[in-house]
Parts: sequence; C-alpha cells; structure tokens
Amino acid sequence: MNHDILYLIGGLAVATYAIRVLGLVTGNMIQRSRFAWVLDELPGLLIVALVASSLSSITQVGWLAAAITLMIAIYTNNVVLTMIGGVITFALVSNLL
Amino acid sequence: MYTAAVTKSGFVAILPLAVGAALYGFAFGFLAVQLGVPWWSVPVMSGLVHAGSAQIVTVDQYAATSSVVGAVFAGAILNLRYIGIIASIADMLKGMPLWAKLISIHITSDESWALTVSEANKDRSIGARFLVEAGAVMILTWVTSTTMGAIAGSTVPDLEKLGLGFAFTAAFIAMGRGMWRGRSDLAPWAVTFAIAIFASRLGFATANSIVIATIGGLLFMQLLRFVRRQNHEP
Repeated sequence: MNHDILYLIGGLAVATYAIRVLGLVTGNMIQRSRFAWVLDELPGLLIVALVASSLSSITQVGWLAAAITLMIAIYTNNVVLTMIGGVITFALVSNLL
Repeated sequence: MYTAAVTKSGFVAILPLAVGAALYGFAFGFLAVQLGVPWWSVPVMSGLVHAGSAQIVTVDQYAATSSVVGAVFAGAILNLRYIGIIASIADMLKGMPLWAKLISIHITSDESWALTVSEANKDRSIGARFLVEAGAVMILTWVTSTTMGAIAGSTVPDLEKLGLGFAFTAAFIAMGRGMWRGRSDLAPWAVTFAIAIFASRLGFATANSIVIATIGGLLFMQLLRFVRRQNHEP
C-alpha cells in the first residue's frame, strides 16, 4: 500500500504538472487545433462514466439515493452541499426502505 | 483608496472562494483516509498535485480497483482542462522569469484563474501579481484543509459501512452538474452512461468500463459531428 500510494501521488503529480507545462508552452495552439473538441468533451464524459460505474455495483436503494442526489446537485450546483446531501440521503433511504 | 487596494489584492479577493475550497478539501481529506489512504499522503498529494477533482477521482479509483495506472489516468484526464486554463494566462505571465512561471502554473487553481480572468476583464491593471497572490492562498488553503480532514478522518472509526463511500459518487454527480453545458450534452452523456453500465454488467473491470465508455462517448460525438457536417453541406 505504502509504495503504491507513492506511485499514485508521483504519477498524478507528474501528469498534472506536464499538462500545465503543455498549456504554457503550446499556448493556444492546441486549443485551435482540430482535436480541441476532444479536450473539451473528455472530462465530462469521464465523470459520467465514473458515476455510472460507481452505480453499477450498488443496490436499487443506491440508485434512488443517486436520483435524489442529482436533484440536489441540479438545485445547488455545489460539490460540498451535494456530498453532504448525498450521504444523508443514502443513509436515510438505506434505513427507511 | 483603501477599498481599491484591497480589491486589487489577490490575497484578499480570493478569500470567499477559499472558504468553499476549504470545506471541499476537508471532505476530501476525511474521505481519503476512510478509504484506506495513509493520512500523511494527503498533504503530500495536495501540495504536489494541487487539483481537487483529480485527487478525488484518483483516490476513489485506486480504492475501488487497486490499479495505480488506471487511477492516475482517470485523474489526468480530468486535469486536461488545465491546458486551456494555463494557455489563457500565458500572456499574463510573459514578463516573469522562468522559475516564477513554473511556480505560478502549479499554484493556479480553477478558482484563482476564474477570479483573475474575470477581474482582469474589468480592470486592466490586474494581472500576474493578482494571479500569484490568489493562487498562493488557494494552495495553502487546499493543503491545510485536506490535512485537517485527513487527521479528523483518522481519529474516527470506519464510517464506510454507514454509506460514507457514497460521498464520492455524490461528488462525481456534482462535478458532472458543474460541467453540464446544456441539451447538446444529453445524448453523448446518456450513451456514455449506458455503455459504462453495460460494460460493468458484462463483467469488465471498473477501470476498463470507464475507458470503454469514455471512448464510446467520444466516438458517438464524432459521429454526431460528422452527421451535422453532412447536413450543413450544400
């Protein structure tokens, strides 16, 4: 675990800094290229895939909690409030149903 | 005079946004430790990476799959937006020595960038100094708040069984809400969602399902772009 966590931190730190340097060096060149749309779309698609994969292994109660959490996210558009609301919803739904 | 000086200080102007980031940082540190990450690794990660959403995604993916490569890959994809963010401030940093530029791009966060760009649009005297001041507050806030969360998380018993793991799912849902740009996202996001569920049900590992679904979503978008081009050609 301890070695893995160092690789995890090192890998993400190097990748993130390389991306920042790429932005500094290439300036707006990448943004004007014909592949710019891929950079714009990838993060959103990845997040949707992450939500789906984390829901695929939970029960129907979890899906209900996720639906309510989505409503909280739409209404608040705030990560911390959605996290707090989501956990409370999950706990309530799990205990009541 | 006093008010003008204060609003032109990145140290001060960023404070309301830093409060929001501190809550988020505390939650991340707390949850990361609950997922089994050693507490000391949280400040190290926050200082060296300084990208909240990517840290959450990476820790969550590592806890779920034990794959270092897959977890780093997922976090890095989320950080691709920094190409555009840093590109947009490249002109602002032009007069700086190289070492200062290299530090500035690391301490720039979503919040300090957004605030600097919006303030610079209103007042042309705002530039690199404001960006660096705001960035310094943000990285200090991020490291401190995540560390406090990690320490708090390591002093309480395992809350995973109470459903705390759902907090990351909720965080992803909120991040998706923040990235939503309108109805044009609906079809590609629905396709990506369906592919990820289908791939997981077929027995693909979580990391593979995510990659397959993301690529599937991109291919679908490329198809949509192609069809639209065909329809617009005379």
